Amino acid sequence: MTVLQELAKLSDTLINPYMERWKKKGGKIIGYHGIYVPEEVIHAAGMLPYRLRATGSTSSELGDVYASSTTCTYCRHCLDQAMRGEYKFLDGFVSFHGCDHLSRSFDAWRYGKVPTPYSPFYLRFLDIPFKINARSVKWMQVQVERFKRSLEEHFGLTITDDALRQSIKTYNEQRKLLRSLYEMRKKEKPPVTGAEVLALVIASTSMPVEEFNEQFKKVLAEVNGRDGFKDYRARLLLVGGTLEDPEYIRTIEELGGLVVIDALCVGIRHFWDLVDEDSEPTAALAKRYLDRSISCPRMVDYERRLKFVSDLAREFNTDGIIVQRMKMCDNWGCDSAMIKRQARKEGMPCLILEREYLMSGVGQMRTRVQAFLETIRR
Amino acid sequence: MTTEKYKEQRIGYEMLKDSENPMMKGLRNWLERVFRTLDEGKPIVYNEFTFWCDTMTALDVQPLAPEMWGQVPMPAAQEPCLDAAQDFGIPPEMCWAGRYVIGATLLGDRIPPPTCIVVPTYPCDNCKAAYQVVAKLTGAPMYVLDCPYWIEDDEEAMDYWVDQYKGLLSFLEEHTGKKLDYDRLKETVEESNRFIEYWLEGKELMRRKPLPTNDMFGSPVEILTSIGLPEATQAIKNRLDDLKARVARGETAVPEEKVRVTWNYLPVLWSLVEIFDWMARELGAVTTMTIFDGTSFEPIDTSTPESIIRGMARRALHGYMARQGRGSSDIIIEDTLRAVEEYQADCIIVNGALGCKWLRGSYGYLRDICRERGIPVMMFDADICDARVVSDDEVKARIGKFIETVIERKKRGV
Amino acid sequence: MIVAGCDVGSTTGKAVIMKDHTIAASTIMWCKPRPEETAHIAITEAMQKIGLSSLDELDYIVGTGYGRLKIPFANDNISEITCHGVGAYWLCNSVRTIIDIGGQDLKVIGLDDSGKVIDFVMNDKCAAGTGRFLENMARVLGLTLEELSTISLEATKPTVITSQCSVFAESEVITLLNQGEEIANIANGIHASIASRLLTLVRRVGAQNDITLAGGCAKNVGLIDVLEKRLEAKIVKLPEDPQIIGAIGAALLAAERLERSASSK
Repeated sequence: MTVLQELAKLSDTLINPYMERWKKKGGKIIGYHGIYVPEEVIHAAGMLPYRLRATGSTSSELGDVYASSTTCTYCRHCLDQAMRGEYKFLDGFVSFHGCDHLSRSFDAWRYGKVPTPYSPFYLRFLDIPFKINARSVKWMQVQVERFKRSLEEHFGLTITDDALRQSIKTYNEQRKLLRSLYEMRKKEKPPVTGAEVLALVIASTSMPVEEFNEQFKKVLAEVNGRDGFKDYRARLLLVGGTLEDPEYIRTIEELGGLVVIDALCVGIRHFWDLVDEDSEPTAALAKRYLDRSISCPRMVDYERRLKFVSDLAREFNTDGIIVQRMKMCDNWGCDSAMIKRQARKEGMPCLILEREYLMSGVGQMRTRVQAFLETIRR
Repeated sequence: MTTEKYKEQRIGYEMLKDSENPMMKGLRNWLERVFRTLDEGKPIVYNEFTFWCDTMTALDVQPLAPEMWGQVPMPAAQEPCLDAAQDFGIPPEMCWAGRYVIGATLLGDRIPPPTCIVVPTYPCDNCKAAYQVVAKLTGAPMYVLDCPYWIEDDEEAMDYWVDQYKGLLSFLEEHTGKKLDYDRLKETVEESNRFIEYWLEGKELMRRKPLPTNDMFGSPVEILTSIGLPEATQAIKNRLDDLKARVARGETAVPEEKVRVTWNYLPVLWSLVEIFDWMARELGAVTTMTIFDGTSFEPIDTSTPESIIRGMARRALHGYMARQGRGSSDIIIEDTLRAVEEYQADCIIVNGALGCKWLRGSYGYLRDICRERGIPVMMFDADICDARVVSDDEVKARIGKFIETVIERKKRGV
Repeated sequence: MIVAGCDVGSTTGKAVIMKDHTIAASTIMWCKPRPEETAHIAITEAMQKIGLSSLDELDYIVGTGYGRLKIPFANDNISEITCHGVGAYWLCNSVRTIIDIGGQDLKVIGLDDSGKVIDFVMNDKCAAGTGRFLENMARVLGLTLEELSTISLEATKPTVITSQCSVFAESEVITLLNQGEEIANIANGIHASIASRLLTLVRRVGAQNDITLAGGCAKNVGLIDVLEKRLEAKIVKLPEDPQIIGAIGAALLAAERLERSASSK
């Protein structure tokens, strides 16, 4: 098994041998949702930041008790896993005001509906601003500092500025490594599939960053040695919110639509920008985490998001855009409509696919994707 | 009126001309001002429907809450707009408010285009997302007020929120060409303080047993359309005087009050208003207050510009839906329990609008608390505007059964 | 050059054989449980009509439809959306919108002036408004599909069926029957309910004239009547059976594929 395959496998399960080894050594794991929680703060506290997934969930019966029929299924499945005790390996959980669904499901944790390995369990709900300007970045810095202090208080430790600086350097290295992989996808014969890349990005959020960086350098060497894929019908940009199942992308790619670039939540939105290593750490983190090249649609900088998608499609020489949006998500419902409108104006074929957390109706998805690819190249 | 556009609203305006209902009168006066503003070519400012228009009144610019505009005259008029939004790709599961605003904008002749847009980040994703589309489609400048999730007892969070208000005032000046005059602001806010005082007095009277009227005294239309204007204050004073007179005469909402209900959701302008009358008439079940309107307000200290702006910012946090939508389920539960307690309600009816993700997401917790406290609660899904979701007959049948059980429980002293 | 298109749907299997760009034979049959079997029977029946005995006599075969991946003898498979677009445009090049009411799904396809698919929308998450829906309704009313279709034209007043779900719509129809509502009016209401669904899809695609219908339901005069009124446009009738449009498109694409590989050699 190649190193790429080994890392990609980490996306198949919630926990993996890296995490198990970490815990055996007495290490703590702090779970978090989304892209706005500063991983470096957790890392500088000597803990492992773990991006929460609902991998392995097959039903959301338990989670549904505290959700409604119009709650996003990703949140329902995460809550279900939580209530079943699947997240008992966590030593703490951090969420934020990402959207209504995330907010309501976090209340379940706060109200003690989720079994935790100890009590009082470390829970934190970050108050991330929705706007991006000098004032809101300052407010974001307050959030970062409060977050840091809360970890220090709860776990009885100190997070020094030096530790933060070191964490920033290490995470920046991870970001640069991931970006260098993405660079290779610009080629006419991209050496990795979109499904592989999703698995790798998931791996990057599920293991100690130092180990990831080390292993990933080997992945880059392996990938560099590949001939690259040339038998595709179309180069695609895949846009959307949180997606945890590489099978989804495989289904698209099997039909000949090679995903050469993404604008996914578990994708470039997670790691794209670097943190400024020369500024004061919490200020630098605040700036980088809030003021991103491409934000989550929860943010109100729609113009910048739209422009970035447009530029990205051009930069990677794509033939079409597929936007996958989660049913019940108002943020993505609106953003996807705006992306399609923009794509239409620019003469770029664009398909919107609605989905739920669990992949179902694969035949129907295939028909749409195939028909879409046929409109690009019959 | 010189312009021929906005047929539905003009028809609605004509229909409202003879109404004695205070809410309808308020709507009518607002429409008149909007039409006049259009005729005069003056700026129109969109204010999202949970954002009070006091800042706009102070700057003497005309607010237009699109969601309110869409409710005139009848929800059926919204259908083409809802369809247009869906054709554009907006999911049908999104709240009608967002779909209406986007659809009306797309159709072009349904709603006056905005000079600028003002929207807070509360109460929900729907409004925040929909207005981004509206801003994109119209190209109009938009100001977003960024509200912290945790703001109670947090001075730094309050500072951040107050800064949003300061930014709003500059924004409005820039895009409407009006200059903020602090004397005018003080005058407006003092007027609004009087308005609130009358409103609170009315709400206080609604705590009486038996209930003096089934006309809820919930969020007056003026808070979106004219608060800060003397006519708004007069309107609420009239309502209060009417209520006081009723109380003095010993009049009650129903001859025999069997059950008092707290309503969890908006007492909507059109679709479900009839339900409250029906409940009172047929079941002796009176509706005391919604969970959105049970809160109180501090009068704003108008001694300095800083205290005025701080006061306005603080007050906005407790507006209907703003308060419940900006934070965690704690607030929703707290307000529900307070509404039950203060208004001596026997039960809660929850009308979950399908598109309302944040509120429906709290119902599991609410159910648990009600069970703990022994408060009878009935939850049903209906759409604010779309009668196809569940018919009036079905709703009535279910409410009828529920009220029966509440009466039973009361008899048994449970 | 002899090519074939084989369209295996959820309810029916269709095959069309084209000889030098002319339709030589076609077949429509009810689906067997296994799509492989359906495909085999359809193509065999079509071949027999023109005296062909072996699949080798066909130069290129394209499979389409719901069961397109299960057609073992197909050289290639192409989505039914593309095939319907190609088929309808070839039959009438003024067509810009195709409404396909299938056994279990609804599709609306938009074409540009060159006949290329520019947008499409599918409703395959529920059976409301599909062939299955009509079958059920006919059964409830004690009519054949043909009778349901024609009696609708005799409606004296519009009946509205409000339920979005076909299961609840069925209950609603039974209630109407019990209330003594005229069958013609109910039939009209059923067609109106389908038309509403279609209209939503049609608007999403931004349909342009000329509009045509494909699929079994395209022969339903009651539905066409209601649709034309709602669309405020005449629906163009294609010169071939509307059920084989997909298979025609597949056959045409088979020819295209063949020509492409010949020229690249």
